[in-house]
Amino acid sequence: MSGFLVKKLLSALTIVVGVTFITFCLFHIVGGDPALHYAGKNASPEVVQSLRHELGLDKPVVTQYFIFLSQAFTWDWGTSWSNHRQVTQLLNDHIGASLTLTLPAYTLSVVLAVLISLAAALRKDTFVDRGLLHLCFILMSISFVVYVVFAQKIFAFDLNWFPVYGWDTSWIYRWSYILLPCFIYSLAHLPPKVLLFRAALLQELEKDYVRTAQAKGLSTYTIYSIHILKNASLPIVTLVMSQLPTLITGSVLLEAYFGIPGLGGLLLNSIQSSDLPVIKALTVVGSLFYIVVQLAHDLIAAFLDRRWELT
Amino acid sequence: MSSLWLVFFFTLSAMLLPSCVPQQRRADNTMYSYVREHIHSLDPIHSHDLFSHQMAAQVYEGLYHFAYLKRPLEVEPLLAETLPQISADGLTYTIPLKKNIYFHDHPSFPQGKGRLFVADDFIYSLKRLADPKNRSESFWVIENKIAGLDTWRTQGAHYDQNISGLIALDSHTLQIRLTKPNFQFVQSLTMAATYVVPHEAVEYYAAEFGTRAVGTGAFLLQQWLPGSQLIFVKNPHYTSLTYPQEGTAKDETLGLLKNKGQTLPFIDRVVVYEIPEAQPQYLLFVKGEIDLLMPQKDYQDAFIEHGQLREKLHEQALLLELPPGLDVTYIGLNNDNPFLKNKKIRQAFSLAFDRPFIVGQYYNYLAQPAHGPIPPGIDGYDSQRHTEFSSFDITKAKKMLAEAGYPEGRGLPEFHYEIPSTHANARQLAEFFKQQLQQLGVRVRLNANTWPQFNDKVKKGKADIFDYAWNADYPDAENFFQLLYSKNRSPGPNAVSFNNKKFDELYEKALTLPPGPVRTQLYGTMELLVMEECPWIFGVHRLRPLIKHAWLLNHKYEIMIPDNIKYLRIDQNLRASWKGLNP
Repeated sequence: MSGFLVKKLLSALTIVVGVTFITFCLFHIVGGDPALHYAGKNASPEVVQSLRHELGLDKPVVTQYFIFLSQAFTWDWGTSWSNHRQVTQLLNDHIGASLTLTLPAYTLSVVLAVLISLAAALRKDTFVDRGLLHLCFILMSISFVVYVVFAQKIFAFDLNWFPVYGWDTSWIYRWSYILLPCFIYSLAHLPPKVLLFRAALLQELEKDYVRTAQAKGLSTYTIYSIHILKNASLPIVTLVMSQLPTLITGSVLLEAYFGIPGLGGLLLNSIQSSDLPVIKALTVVGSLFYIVVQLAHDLIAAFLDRRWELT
Repeated sequence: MSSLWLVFFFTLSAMLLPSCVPQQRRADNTMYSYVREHIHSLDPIHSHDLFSHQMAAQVYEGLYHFAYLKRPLEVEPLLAETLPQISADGLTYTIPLKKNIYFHDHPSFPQGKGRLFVADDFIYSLKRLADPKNRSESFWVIENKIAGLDTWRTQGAHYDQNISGLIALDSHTLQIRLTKPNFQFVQSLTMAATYVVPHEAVEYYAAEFGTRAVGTGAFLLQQWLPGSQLIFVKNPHYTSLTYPQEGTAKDETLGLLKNKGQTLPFIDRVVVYEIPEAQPQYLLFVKGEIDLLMPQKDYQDAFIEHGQLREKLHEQALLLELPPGLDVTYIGLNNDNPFLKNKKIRQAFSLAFDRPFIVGQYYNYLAQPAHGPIPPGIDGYDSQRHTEFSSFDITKAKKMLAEAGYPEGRGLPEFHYEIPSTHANARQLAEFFKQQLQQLGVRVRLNANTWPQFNDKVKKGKADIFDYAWNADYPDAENFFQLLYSKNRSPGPNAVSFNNKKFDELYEKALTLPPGPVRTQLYGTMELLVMEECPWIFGVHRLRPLIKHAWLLNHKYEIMIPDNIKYLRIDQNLRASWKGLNP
């Protein structure tokens, strides 16, 4: 176990260094000159140069990279170049809104996907199964923006079931603003999960132990809910956990259309305005979250399947 | 099983019930508005974009602002008592300040009571703007203009050191000494960067000051949820201004002078949503949940037909305003490029550009063709001013190109046209321009860039051809001409590196002239010269269509007047009855 943890720690370090390096290089290739952007449209060359100094952009590139690395380890990202607030404060302010949207929405989509895929697998090759498959393919071919635009127009505007736009600091009112975006997110993320979960369940269905259980006279409900679902849970958990890191950055489109002050909008703004401190912090947060989720996945997988080795 | 359904039903009801509540909260004296970009900061020295400026202007005030109803725009005192007394050499400005202005009540002041605004507050605010540690995007507003300020900045920006050009003669009299005469300086003092902030609040909030706001303005910031919405409430002690006594003749007819002389503001509460997408803006407006809308291109057709409000919308109590945008769009031609340096090639390109087609096709007739840099509404603009290169004439364009030594475009390289990839309109216009030049035999390659890349190429003079627009910082033609002054070449605002000795001389002369007929005439001469030289292909001057519900009273939109909310009123009965008819 300790060997596993040491190995994971080393792998985490490699990932963080790799991510910081790629982010840094990409920013210097496509990020433009932030000093020109932030000096203002009428700034003189002297002011641009002075700002370059203030932002630390006149330091050698290698030094700038090591400052970035040290920030990742000390968790001091300095102030945003765009809105001049402490980056850690910005993350704190926005991460809650992102997770308020994505966590329940993702959970809902996983629960629904398991139920629907079970229903499809139980009725394999029937009208219901084929209908669900076709519906999934149709839903997957629709762009996410179409879901957002139509759902907002129909459910919030035409039917008046939800507010069109807004947010509230109060949790009681916030739910009213979150419900529709949550449903949209769940629905749009449902079809690929259903297909994958169904495939995993059907794979298990072909195995000998299912035939044995059927021969022993166990009910279909018991076979599916206890045996098949348990054995198929490993690929399901793998898929679910592989998507977890994306939850933290929220959903740029949903945030923009519904007024949710999450990290997605913050990330988009920071890219558009060359706000390197925020970009750096968000990429490192994303990679750390990925590392933690991978670790959790390995532990859960070992619990679910004893053949899984923690090496 | 039935009990499970009951639990499900009650849970769902409990979740959906609150969705009705926000709409019930709309029957009060509250204005609902929006901005179409996220607000970066409410700190005046960082409120450099249009929308942050608008929000900061509800809370903060400067020494001057533009009169709400007068057109052409006219500077009038806000925190200042009168317009400045300017010395004969044009260098010393003496400004008496109003003596009864208090900052908002706030815990940063002793006993939480807002203190009296004094001359030192303005000096402190300008020092903050100049302090390099604050990294203001707007330092250019005062750069090289005030005696001693730039030296103070480079020598460490110590706040306890005095600046020779910024003196408080007494608690309510300021003296500003300029480095050279500058007749645009008073207009600079209307800009957000020079708004007055109290040092107590800046120190109290430190790095978070940009998310709070403590000023002398008509509204207090109650709440800001960055990325979502801002809520302002009425400042009950507001005394800086009353409703204007004068306006244009049309204002009288439109009922804009009914409240003259009355205490401001009229509205108790203002909710401003940050809505970057066009659809929610449109839906909220049609539902009556925001009071006005500046429809984005895809939604303009729903309201406007050939520059008029659609007939059926009059019945829905909607009104249209079409103020000029005080801007110019243009295609920049980099004068450092060995081919684009050739005036005849630039003139040929200008002749190949069909502006009236652009106005109809890309702007829904909500713009007018630009023949020069000065937009309508600014002194020096003349709609009759034309040169032979202002019109669309492909035959003549081909002739010019042949005269330049490149008949049918032979011998010319493929030009690179830089566009920001996020702007759909810029992409469409670039495609159109490419097709137009193909008629001359000129090849153009479109390069899509991220916004930072695009900005970088333009500012560093690396773009041969690029699409750009300039919105006035202050309503003076000088603000447009400075974009062509050779000493402002890249990385300064002269992104095309235009270099014309005669133009430079005229520009320098114009800077020394006070507003008046002589300067206006000089601006005309300068514009003609630029129209002849074609450093840009002039595009259009845009209008800013604004649709409002009839319950929003006293509204007269002008981009240069960001502090307009204090003049507005809501006819609550009309809004309630409209809501009854359009639930």
